[in-house]
Amino acid sequence: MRRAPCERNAPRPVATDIVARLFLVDTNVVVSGIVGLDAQSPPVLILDAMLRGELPFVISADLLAEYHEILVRPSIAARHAMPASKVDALLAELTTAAYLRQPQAELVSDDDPPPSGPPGDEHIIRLLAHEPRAALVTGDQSLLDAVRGWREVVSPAALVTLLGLTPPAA
Amino acid sequence: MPRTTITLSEERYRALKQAAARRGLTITEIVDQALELAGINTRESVMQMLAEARRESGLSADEAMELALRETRAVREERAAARGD
Repeated sequence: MRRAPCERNAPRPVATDIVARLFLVDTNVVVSGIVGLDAQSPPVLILDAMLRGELPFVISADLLAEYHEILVRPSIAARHAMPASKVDALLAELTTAAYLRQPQAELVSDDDPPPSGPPGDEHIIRLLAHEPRAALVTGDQSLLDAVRGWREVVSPAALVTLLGLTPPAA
Repeated sequence: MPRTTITLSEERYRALKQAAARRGLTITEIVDQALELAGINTRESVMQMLAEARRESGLSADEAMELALRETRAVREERAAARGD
């Protein structure tokens, strides 16, 4: 599986061509922002900005359900050690900062045909079809490649550069 | 402890008193439980919880992203397989 640039020291793709100021933050970014310890890593900076209301982002019921599903999987829950009630509280806080969208169940668009992403990514494609102003933020290079050219895409590292995200002052 | 005043409909207030009586709790305790169940937390408490989760996990940025990618992809492939894609 190929990864989009994520690490602090990774080469950063040029981000100045991104015009979107609304973002769809993929599950892999949110989850790695929770289980990653490095306060300077792009997923941590992105998740903290989402929670502080400094990063406008869209979410759908399907995407929120996926955030939850991954966070309570044994392999992930064993890392963060949060009980389900704390996961719920964290996602509730995240949701208060989100722009909620409810895309149609079926993709119907002759004028703006969506790409066929990797298996199981349809909820991401549906949300991007519903909210074309949103740029996809993902660490999944295959999804990034599938969406590029149809919607704006940005790696976590590029988004941090684009927005100048830094850890909050202690 | 801070105090506040809220306005409820007659029906909601009756229901609140009845629920408190049934459960042997005060109205304050019932409201506090309801707020807890509704996920009403201060941002500070959520950020503190998140900091603890990160410390507990202790993964580097690379390890965290590898794990998140693997698990997310697994769930999506399971979902696609269940649909027969």
